[in-house]
Amino acid sequence: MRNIKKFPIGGTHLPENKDLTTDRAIQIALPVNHVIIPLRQHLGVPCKPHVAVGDKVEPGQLIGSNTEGLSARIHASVKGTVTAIEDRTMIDGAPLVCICIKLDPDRDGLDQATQALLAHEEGAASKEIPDAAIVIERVEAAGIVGMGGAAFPTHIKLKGRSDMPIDTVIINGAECEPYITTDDRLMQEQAAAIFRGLEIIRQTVGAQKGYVASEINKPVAIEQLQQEAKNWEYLEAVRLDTRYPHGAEKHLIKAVLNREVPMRQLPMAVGALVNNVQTTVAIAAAVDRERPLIARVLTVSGSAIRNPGNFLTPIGTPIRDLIEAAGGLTDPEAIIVIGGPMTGTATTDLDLPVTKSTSGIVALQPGEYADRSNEVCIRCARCVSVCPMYLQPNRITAFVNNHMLPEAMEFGLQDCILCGACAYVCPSHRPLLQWLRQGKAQAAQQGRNP
Amino acid sequence: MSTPFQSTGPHIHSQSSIARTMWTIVLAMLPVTGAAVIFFGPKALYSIFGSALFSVVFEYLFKRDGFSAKLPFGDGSAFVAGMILGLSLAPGAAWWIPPLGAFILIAIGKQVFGGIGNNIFNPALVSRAVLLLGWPRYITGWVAPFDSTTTATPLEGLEASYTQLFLGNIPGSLGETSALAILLGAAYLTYKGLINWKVPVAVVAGAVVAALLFGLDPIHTVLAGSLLFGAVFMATDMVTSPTGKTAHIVFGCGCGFLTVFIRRFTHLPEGVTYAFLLMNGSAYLIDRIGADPIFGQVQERVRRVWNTAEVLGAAILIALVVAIVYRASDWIDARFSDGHMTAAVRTIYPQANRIIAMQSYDAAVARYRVYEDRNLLGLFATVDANGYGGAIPVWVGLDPDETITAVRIGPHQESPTLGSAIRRTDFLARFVGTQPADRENLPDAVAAITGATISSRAVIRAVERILAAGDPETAKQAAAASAPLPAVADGTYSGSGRGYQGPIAVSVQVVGGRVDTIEITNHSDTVGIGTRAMDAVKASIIQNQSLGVDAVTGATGSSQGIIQAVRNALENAPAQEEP
Ligand code: SF4
Ligand code: SF4
Repeated sequence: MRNIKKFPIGGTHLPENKDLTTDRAIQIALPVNHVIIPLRQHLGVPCKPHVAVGDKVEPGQLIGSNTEGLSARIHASVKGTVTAIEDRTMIDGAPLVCICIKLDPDRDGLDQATQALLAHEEGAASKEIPDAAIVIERVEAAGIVGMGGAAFPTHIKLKGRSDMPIDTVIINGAECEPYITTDDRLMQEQAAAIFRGLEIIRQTVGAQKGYVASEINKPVAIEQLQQEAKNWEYLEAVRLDTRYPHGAEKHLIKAVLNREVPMRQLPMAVGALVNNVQTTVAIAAAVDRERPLIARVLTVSGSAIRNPGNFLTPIGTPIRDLIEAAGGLTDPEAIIVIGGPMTGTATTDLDLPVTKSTSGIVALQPGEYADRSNEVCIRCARCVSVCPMYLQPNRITAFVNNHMLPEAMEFGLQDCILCGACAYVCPSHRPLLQWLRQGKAQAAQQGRNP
Repeated sequence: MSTPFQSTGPHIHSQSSIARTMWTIVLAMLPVTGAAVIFFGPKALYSIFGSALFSVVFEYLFKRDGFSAKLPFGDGSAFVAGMILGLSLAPGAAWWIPPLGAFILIAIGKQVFGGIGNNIFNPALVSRAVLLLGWPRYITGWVAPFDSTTTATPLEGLEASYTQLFLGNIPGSLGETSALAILLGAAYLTYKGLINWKVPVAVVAGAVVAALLFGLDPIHTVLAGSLLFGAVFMATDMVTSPTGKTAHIVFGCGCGFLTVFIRRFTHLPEGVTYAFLLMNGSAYLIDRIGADPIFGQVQERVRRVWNTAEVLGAAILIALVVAIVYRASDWIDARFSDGHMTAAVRTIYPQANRIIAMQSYDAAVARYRVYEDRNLLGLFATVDANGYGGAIPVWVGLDPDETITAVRIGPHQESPTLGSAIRRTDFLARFVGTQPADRENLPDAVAAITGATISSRAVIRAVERILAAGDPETAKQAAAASAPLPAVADGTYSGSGRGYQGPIAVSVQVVGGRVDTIEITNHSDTVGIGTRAMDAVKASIIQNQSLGVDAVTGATGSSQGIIQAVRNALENAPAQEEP
């Protein structure tokens, strides 16, 4: 097939399991009686709360911000009353201040407020795009962060750096995690909004070209993108081969532009800017309609979910409510993973809320769950051959396990993107990703107190 | 799932496992196993699966805990290693080789290092190397396919066409003969993603480069012997090869190159075992030196390309120098032989284009192996006979068992009549079929030619000497017997030589063409040891009718004085008229 791009070395093919939800239209799933909104849903410092217990809040009301340091604003996602502002244990095991809001019994307008993210108007495409400064201001006001998982505040990304001009913007629709069809559905249903968002970004950062890239395992989405691309002079749809991890920023750039981001540098260094699909939709909503980011689309799927689907839900909805919205679990022993099955985190705490960067909830049957028997390394080098960063995970983890951090770093511990491809293929079922994370945590620790 | 590290992914797994990997490799070895059974009969199954099962049994005995009820053959790694060993055995290997080999494989090859994943050397090769050292005769029983007559392998000079080498109906180890079956296995492993096809290709490339440098036929080099089997099933062994991608390819090249190097420059017929073991030993080093650049190390990559280019350039330069030196010596050889040897050899082997000197225990006798390309035509040996009128070059062709196939006479100074007499084909034909064991009977079997007794006797003696030159003992005897006395007319002659303490004078009486008596007329050497030595040497010369006698230990000076004096006397004598 012509014109299918891919990154050249490493990677692996995963069972996609996307057919469970790829043709399920996005539907609204509302929280049952409360939402929990963490005050940090972005990379950077937590926000300070602007409300107190007992306050009434409206959807879209600013309830948290921080002007010092890297952060993104937080808005109430529902209409209700603040019942608590307290520490909750988050998915990473660390406590974080959250604002708990009890929903008003009259749920008037809740649907509409949630729907606002996707309420793309016909003709929006022809609206004039405001100045870069205004775009950035609106994006900042909307509290937009990278919604693919990285959660980097988008307004900072759009400001860019004067010494590194951007010539190409890429929208990352690769969505290479199994089961997850969030971006897939958005591309099928919201192609126009995505291209509008891309055009806004392109003009804001002053790039010449914009691409929306998606893997060929999403034929309907690609069809939609290619149709929509005809309406835009500088924008194009790009087809990618199906390979994990195409969604990794550096690999996407390598695949689409054949530029290699130098070690430990940002995509800007090669003149590229990558944005997530849903982030782009949120940017369009923020710039065209001045809507804050208070809801997101995510996939609830997995072999242990009764009615898998794609849901638009207010930020802060407990995952329990979403699992219920998807018909509940078919197996009480099911293992719940927040995020995709490759890089997500398993949890037993169903009170955890959906945040701006939660791309999915996957419930796996115990039999399907990865066996981590951790046998001896047989030096088969399969981990090496799949590592998209060209690392030798077998050696790096051996160094980490033997407390040889400097050697581990010399062999590229810090270049690992934690994609998990190595652990996925290891015939000895070694928990390589776990060790790599530990190694990185230790390295960060050492970096802090040398 | 109390800590986030325990709950990190990936939460799904490819379902690969050690056991699955191992059994896939076993499947990939079925084509070669099948080929072995077709060519060498069902006994091959015993060698192959016997080795495999014995390995499993020993593995079980060594580490009971590693075995679970779910996996009756353990993780399959012992089975695979045993099978590789079995496939590398000769069809005629003794029945007790598989259990012994399996024991060595598991004990020394694997468990000593701590079991799977920790062994530095390929266990099958370790076992094979130990067997080769300890019991070479029992593991290299080469037999021809289909019938089981003993034979040489293509590496040892057996003629085989490329087609035969490809299909495998040639003698060799059970699993190595059929390139076709090996390639089927390789294709399957590549399809299953268990091997990187670049590694076997690197092995072959290394071997081809070496073959070209050392002047061997590259296709024959690759197809004959176990290079291809090693490339697919040993160079790709997971545990004992580097894990880095480039490192693994470098490793492959090294395996191929070293194999051919060993074949060419040592007396070992096959180099795979030792070459691969050597490379196994350097796997860690190669990994260390040849670590691939990381994604994003753009500059680094450029630098490494340069470094690699430099190293490669240097290697090629060294190889070229080696090759030129090697070629030059070959060329000098060839010129030398063109001058007088090649012409001589071609009188017997017209198609000969390569001769290689071989061991001769008689300094006067030169012995060669004669080839047409890689194809051994036979042996060639030459010595100068002491004719009536001077040296007569005698050229003898022998088959590899040293049985005479042809005798020719080179250019000489004999008179035309004598010359044509010893050139008579019926005379020369009498030698054909003689073996070294018949050497002593040669004078009777090949009667001298009446009218050319001395010349023909000299030829007979020369052939005797050639037959004796392959063995140190007989060579010594023959040399002594065939430094013949110059033929002189009957009469009494006097001559002198230098003894230990002064001149020695002798008077030699020749009767009927033979030295009859030697009288010492004057000497100044010690009475006692000196005179006893002189008496012994005198007797020896008369008995052997030869000056090629041993000196008496402890009285070399006196002995040599006598020999010198007798030669001097005979040289002074008028030459004998040919009767
Ligand atoms: S997790 Fe890290 S080491 Fe493993 S494959 Fe991904 S980038 Fe490579
Ligand atoms: S995949 Fe697993 S067994 Fe193979 S080399 Fe890597 S860590 Fe070792």
